Amino acid sequence: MKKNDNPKVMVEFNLWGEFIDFDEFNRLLNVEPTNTKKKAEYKVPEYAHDTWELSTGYVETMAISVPFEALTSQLSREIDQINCLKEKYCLHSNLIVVIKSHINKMPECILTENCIKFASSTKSEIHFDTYIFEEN
Amino acid sequence: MRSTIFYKSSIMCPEGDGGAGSEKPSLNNVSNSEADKLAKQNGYKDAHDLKEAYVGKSDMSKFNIKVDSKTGQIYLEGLQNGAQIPTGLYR
Repeated sequence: MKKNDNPKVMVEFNLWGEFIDFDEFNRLLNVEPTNTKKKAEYKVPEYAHDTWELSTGYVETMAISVPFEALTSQLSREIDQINCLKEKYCLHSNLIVVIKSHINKMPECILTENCIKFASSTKSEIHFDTYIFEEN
Repeated sequence: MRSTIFYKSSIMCPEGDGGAGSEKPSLNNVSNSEADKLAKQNGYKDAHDLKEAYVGKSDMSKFNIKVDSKTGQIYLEGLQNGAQIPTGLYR
């Protein structure tokens, strides 16, 4: 990443647990996942879970709230269904904010009220996975 | 190339011996550029993609990519618990 490049930010919403019936998820959620993965597809069994993922993909932006709000607005009408599925399958969830940025051009890092409300209403942790580049 | 072989890990914790006969790796930090480069060389989109393949979405932000200075093997190291996960990939 060069020093004049804009930051790239991706936000993911993940649901995971011991077992997920992805067909049931497809029937009940009005959102297509960007990825689904079974436990057996992971390389380290100790950390493996069935996982349902919705991601914004990398977006060039100066504010993490832009992709974050885009993701949460896509899911805002699914909150009740998400919570039902979480309870039925004993699932956990998180939101991962991935930031790739040059050290001299960091994005604005604000978790807006809408983002916090969504995280809270789905009992999701918010994780940051940051890659800060220093080279010219 | 990305390996499609299922990988059986041997996670090593600082307090443990890392398994019979294993020698504790000497892990060096790598820059984010280097981590991305290593991931791409091994068939992944970037460092984030590599971490996801090994520890999944629940724990990936708890790990950094490091390299064993003796063997060149790429490891994931837990930021808090110090767990060391050999990837079977090399620089």
